[in-house]
Amino acid sequence: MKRIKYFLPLLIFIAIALFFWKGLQKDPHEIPSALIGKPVPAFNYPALTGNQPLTNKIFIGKVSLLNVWATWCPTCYAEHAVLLDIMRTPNLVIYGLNYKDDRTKAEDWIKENGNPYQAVIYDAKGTLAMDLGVYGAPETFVIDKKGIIRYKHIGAVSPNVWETKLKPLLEKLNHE
Amino acid sequence: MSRASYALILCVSLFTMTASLAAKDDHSYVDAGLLRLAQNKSQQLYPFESPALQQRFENITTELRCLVCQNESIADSNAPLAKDLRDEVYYKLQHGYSEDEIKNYLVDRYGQFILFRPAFNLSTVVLWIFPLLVLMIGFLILFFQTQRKPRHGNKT
Repeated sequence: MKRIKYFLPLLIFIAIALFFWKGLQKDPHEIPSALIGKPVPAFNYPALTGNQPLTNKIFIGKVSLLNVWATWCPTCYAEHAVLLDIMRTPNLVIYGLNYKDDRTKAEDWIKENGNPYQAVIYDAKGTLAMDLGVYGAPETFVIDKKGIIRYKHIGAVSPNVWETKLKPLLEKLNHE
Repeated sequence: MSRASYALILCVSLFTMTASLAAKDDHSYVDAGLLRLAQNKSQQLYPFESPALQQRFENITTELRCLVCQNESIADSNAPLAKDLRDEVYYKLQHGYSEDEIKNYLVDRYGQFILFRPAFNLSTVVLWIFPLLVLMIGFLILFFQTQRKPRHGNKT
């Protein structure tokens, strides 16, 4: 028993070192969303195309993704191809939130690169984005059938992120 | 046990003390001249009718973290998001919101991380208490170790 005492400092050191090492693996730029488990805030915003305004009711009834994008965001270009791939997933609706962008540029972008979105909310001043706690683009919210935010992915949705994180979660939410 | 544990206790206590001091000083290394310059700049960009309100604006914006360049306050940062947040704080102050209401508004959206000094609540209790706890444990061990009578036959 006495012997253990001698090793105690070493053990404590190892515990602290492991703790810090784990902390260093995390990306400090990934701040967990404060809105997980909360409903999408009420809004009424113009759509990027068409005259019909969009409200938070669009998220009711189906599991959906809300993808925050902008033409000034280079990562969004890379992500766009992935979104076009996953848009065919059954029981999934993808909405876009065009964040602090120029309307014409955004429209052209959709025309040139294809449209994975059911509809795009046009948020010129980023006010809805602020209500959603968005601090950059791209960001992607996973919203369940009741319109409750369940997850937020920060950064581009890569094929890997889709397969390992989003797809399993969407399947789970579809069975709720 | 004795020497090694004293050394360890000393290290841990010094570490926790410096860590908590460093945390407190996180963003206060600002020289007075620069601060005045920044204040003048903000007075032009965000004019207030009363100096008290102006002061409150400066207090809030220096207490809020820019989420893009994380060690800068939204008062210092040039990131577009920091500007949006400054505008929001300005708008809310002009419309009679209190300091706490504004902070809560932003915490609801961005989480406690936006505050340089997170509020003391259930989710942050470990953050606040832990250094103190380790320090206390250190002193307790030290206390009991020194109370114990030296045994015979032991070297040193």
